[in-house]
Amino acid sequence: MCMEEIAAAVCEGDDDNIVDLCRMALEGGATPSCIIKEGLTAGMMRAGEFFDSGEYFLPEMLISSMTLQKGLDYLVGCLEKESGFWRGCIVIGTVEGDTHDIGKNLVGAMLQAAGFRVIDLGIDVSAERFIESVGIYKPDIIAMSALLSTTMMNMETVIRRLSDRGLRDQVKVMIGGAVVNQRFADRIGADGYSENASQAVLLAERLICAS
Amino acid sequence: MGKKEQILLTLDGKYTGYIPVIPVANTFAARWSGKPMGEVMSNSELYAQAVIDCRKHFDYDGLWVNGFGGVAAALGQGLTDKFGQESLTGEGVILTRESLEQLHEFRADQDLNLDGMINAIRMMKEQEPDQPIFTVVSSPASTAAVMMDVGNFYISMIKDPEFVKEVIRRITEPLVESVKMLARAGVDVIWNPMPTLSGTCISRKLYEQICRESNMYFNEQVRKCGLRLVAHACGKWDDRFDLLFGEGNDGVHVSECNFQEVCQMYGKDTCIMGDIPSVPIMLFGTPEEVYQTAFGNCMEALSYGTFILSPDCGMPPDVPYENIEEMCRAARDAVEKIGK
Repeated sequence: MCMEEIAAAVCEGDDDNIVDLCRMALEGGATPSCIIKEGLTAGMMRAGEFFDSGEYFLPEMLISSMTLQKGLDYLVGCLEKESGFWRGCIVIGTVEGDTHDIGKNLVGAMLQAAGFRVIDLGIDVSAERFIESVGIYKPDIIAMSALLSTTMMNMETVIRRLSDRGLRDQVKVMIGGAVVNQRFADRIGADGYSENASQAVLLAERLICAS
Repeated sequence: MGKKEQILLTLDGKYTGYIPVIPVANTFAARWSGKPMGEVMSNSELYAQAVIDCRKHFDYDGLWVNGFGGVAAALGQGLTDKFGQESLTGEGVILTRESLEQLHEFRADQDLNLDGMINAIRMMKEQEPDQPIFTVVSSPASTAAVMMDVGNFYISMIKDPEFVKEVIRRITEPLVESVKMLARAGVDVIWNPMPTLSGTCISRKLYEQICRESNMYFNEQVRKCGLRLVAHACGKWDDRFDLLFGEGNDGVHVSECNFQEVCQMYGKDTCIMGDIPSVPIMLFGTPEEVYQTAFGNCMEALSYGTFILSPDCGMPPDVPYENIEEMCRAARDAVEKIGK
């Protein structure tokens, strides 16, 4: 089975056939991590390039992401047998008062495909839940999303409480969302900001290396 | 000539020697009131009083009636949402064609959300009769996006566009009925946010195929009620401004655009509103930056047509008070410079 076919299926959003393609690749002797990296992730990265160039928009990205997720869900059980795939743990969520989850879900899927164990806290996540997650999951990174100018300041609340509880040194913080930017990230003391899902993966890799 | 008349004439494309300053200040006013925001936003009397007092304090223009989510709630309240929970707001309840059959009947005269808005409008008209009242009403396609869950809406646009069109059709008349009620209560301007349908989110092709027809129909019905209409081009619209400016809006509230180009191309026929960046300038900029941006916007836009000065999106609740004062001062100074 050619990885190119899997990559094309993800990029074109062929969610009906992705599981069959992955199964055939496994039967053909490919390892799960190889299928994820060279098939699923490569396809999603290609979709991301189309998004950056203005050829794809959110509907196309969501269908690619849905296809990616189906493939990942199928392969993730097999991955446990392979050692050394997971590169770190990331807790992700949309901050309190904000119910937008499209961007957050895209970033979560891309991070998972890139080899991060992703714990998705969902939407409208209180500062306290983010803080609790540090004790429960021991993440390397907390990733927060906000789409509203009325909720973006809740990101600062999370960072401040991490510091107040003496947890700030244990975890990196990255942020994203339509209303935030690098200047805002610097202002609230986040470790990084990314403009889109593919940049979020690069940022997470940088933060993990730095820690 | 009173303020309200001046502002409505501005939207009609007539310069009156005055530049209205109209921030979308609903959450800002709620925060400014000093009361818990949740309490203010859910109580029509507290909300109306906050909006009235805040406007008077800063001396900007326009009163904002809290955003209308009544149609989604009325049609979908109590139905199961994508999380498997009973929805209070009607968000994310139309996930399949079958769920369309479960929607409730809409009765504008029995809608509690509209009742609250009408109560707020009455207070505003009593206390500030010379200020125009704006209200936020989403387009049928935007409302469909909310009720279908935005992710599902986007995916269905490609996988099952007829389903999306059917949902939009089902939602349109209840929205029109609501607008008629709001018009009778005394609203002057409908402000139509279309954030999910911008070039940041969907392609021009999908916009034309699925959303535009219902937008144009809805706009026509709003205008038949004698209301002015402002569309908020939130996000990137550069590849489809020609469509938006041809949809019968009296004003277009822009953001993230080439402001000079938009004013030059469309300012003669349509009132332009904007364009102070809400977060980097209004929230985090210095008073001087706000003044320079606002003054520049006024001078640029008035070269081509009429203009309403405003942040480019909803005004964040934590905007420094000095920045609002500088925004208002810039509009006054621009009039001085241009002449009445």
